Parts: sequence; C-alpha cells; structure tokens
Amino acid sequence: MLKLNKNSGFSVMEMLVSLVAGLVVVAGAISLFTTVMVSGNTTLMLSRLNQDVQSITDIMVRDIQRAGYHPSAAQDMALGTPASSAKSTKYQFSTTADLYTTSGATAPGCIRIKYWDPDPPSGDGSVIRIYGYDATNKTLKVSTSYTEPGSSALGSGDCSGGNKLLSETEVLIDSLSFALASGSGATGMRAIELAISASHTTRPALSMSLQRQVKLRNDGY
Amino acid sequence: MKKRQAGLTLIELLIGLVVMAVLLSIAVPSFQTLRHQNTVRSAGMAIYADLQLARSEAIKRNKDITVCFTGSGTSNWSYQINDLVDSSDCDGSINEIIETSNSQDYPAVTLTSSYTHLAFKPRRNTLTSGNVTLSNGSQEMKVISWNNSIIRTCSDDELIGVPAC
Repeated sequence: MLKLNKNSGFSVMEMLVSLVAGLVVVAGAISLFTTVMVSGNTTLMLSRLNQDVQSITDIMVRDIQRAGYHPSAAQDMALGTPASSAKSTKYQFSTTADLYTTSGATAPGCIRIKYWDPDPPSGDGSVIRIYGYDATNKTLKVSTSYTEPGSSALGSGDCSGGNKLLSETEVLIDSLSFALASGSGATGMRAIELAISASHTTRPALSMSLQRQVKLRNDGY
Repeated sequence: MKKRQAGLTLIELLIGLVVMAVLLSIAVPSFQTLRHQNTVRSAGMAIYADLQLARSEAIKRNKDITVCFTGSGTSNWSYQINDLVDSSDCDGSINEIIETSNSQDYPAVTLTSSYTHLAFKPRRNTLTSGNVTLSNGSQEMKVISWNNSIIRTCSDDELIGVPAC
C-alpha cells in the first residue's frame, strides 16, 4: 500500500501490457471468425460440387439403364435371334457403334443410348441420346433426337453437340469415361463402368470422383 | 494520495479514444458490407436449396411440383413449394404443401422473380428458364434456372463462394 502512494494511475508499462493482452484476445477472436467463415464457405462449395456431380451421374445412369428398351423386344426375341428387320434390334446397345473413344483417350468419353419412350415429348417414341465429354472445355454435353435410330457408328461430330449439363463457371469435369466393364462381350450381359471426376472451377483443390457400374438391363440374353 | 498522480492524463486518454474511434470508423463499414453480403448470400443459398428440393421432390414423386411466388419485387415476399392439383394454377387446390418461406426470415432482402410460378416436372428439359433475384439495394444475387433443368447461382457483387454472372 505504500507504493501506491507513488503511482496511483496507470503507468505506461501497465497500459502497454494491457493493450498487448487485449490485442492478443482480439486477434484470436478475429482469426477464429475468419476460420469459421472460410471453412463454412469451403463446406458450401464442396456440397455444391457433390450435389451437381451426383445429380448428373444419376441422370446418366438412369439413361444408360434404359438403353435398348423397346416394347416389342420380348416378342421379337421369342423365336430366337430376332430378324435384323425387327424394330427392336435398332435400339439394342452396340459396344462398337454406341461408344466413341476420342483419339488419344484411353476409354470412351462418349455414349449413345437408344430407347423407346411410350410418352415422348415429341416424335413417335424413339429417343436417341448422346452424352459427350468435351475435354478441351471440361464440360459434358447431351444431345437428344426423337427420330428412329440408324445403324451408323458414333463419330466425333455426334459427340460435340448438344446442351451443357453443368455450368462451367462452377464445376469443371476433369475426366469422364464410359468404359465397358471387363467381362462384357459384344452380346450377352454387359455393363458400363462410368467414372467421373470433377473439380470446382474457382478452387481446383476441391475435387471429387465417382464410379458407378451400370448394367444394361435390356440386353438380349 | 499526497503525491501528484503519474498515470494517464485526460489528454492522453482522449488521444487514445480518438485513435480507437478512427480505427473503428474504418473497420465498422467494411464489417457492415460483409454483413449485408452475407444476408443476401444466405437468402440466395436458401432459395437455391429450396428449388433443388422442389426439383428432387418432382423426380422422387414422379409428379409436377410447383413453386409459387407472391409479392415479387417487394420486401414482403413469400414462396411456397406445392404439390398442386393443377400444376400451373397456384390459386387452385393444393394436395400438399412441402415447404414455405417468407421475407420475415430475411429482413431487408427483396425478392424479384421472373415467373409467378415455377413448375418442376419429373421429365428433363422441361424447366422454365428464368431467374430469381435477391437484393438488399446494394448487393444482388441471382438464382437462375435453365431449361435443361440446371439451377445455378451467380452474383456480380463478389459474394464469397458465388461465381460471377
């Protein structure tokens, strides 16, 4: 109590110490705040990426599962191998004509699906859908036509048209392949191995990959 | 307390206060901007999530799901995700209300939609193109629907995590 008589207010040293202590607390609070904001944002971007990639994969998987459907297929098959004039054969998935591998790529990046839709948005029921991966722009495009399928094989021109399935300002597709699962022959039971990996456009470190094996359910076995 | 006090003088304290005030007057407005950006962003994200919900409900139920907007362009807006008897008639009878939301949760945010109702169909390529704009006067965020069933968000006001339009 004796010493208090000398300095009864703050000394400069005391004030500096308290200021530093205060600043340390404030700095901690601010860094916590920014960490929460940044991680919240990362979570948001990641969940958005996840949702977008999952949903387009679902769309493609559901389409591939429909490949080859025609209402008279069973009737055509009943007498053995259907005649080539039978309508349902036009819709059958062909491992050679309906998959297209871009030169230089190891697996097909483009697939064509043909099926009959009893309630078509236009046309009489034929649906041809082509999913093509554009490696240059890292986008996925889909084109649809409602005409009866022909027999010509897929070409690079078929694979580059159509509408984008994803917005490239948010998600870039780094790779996409529709490989034929090992053990699948040209006829019989076949499956498509769909592999997709995508990353966020503004933050490429955020990425994800998905793999699905899709059985072609309307195969002639 | 006979001796003269050797602590802070009033002048020193005042100088300290003035310095604090100057620093705060710089910090507070930028913090306010951040707050405003976040209110618009969270409203936009909520509407994005609700539109995605409507889309997936439509696919799940294999039925048309309609989002009905009211009070578009005003600060007293609301929307409702409905399973309607007639999917294009928001005033008609409702089978089920899936979700409702209104401006009370987002004060000072104005919603402007380019459609009075947005119908999600289970079939693809059937979505109406348009956008919903959320604005608080200075910041804006858009939730855009494309006719190939994509819903996306964008903003020209550098909201965190939202791509530019």
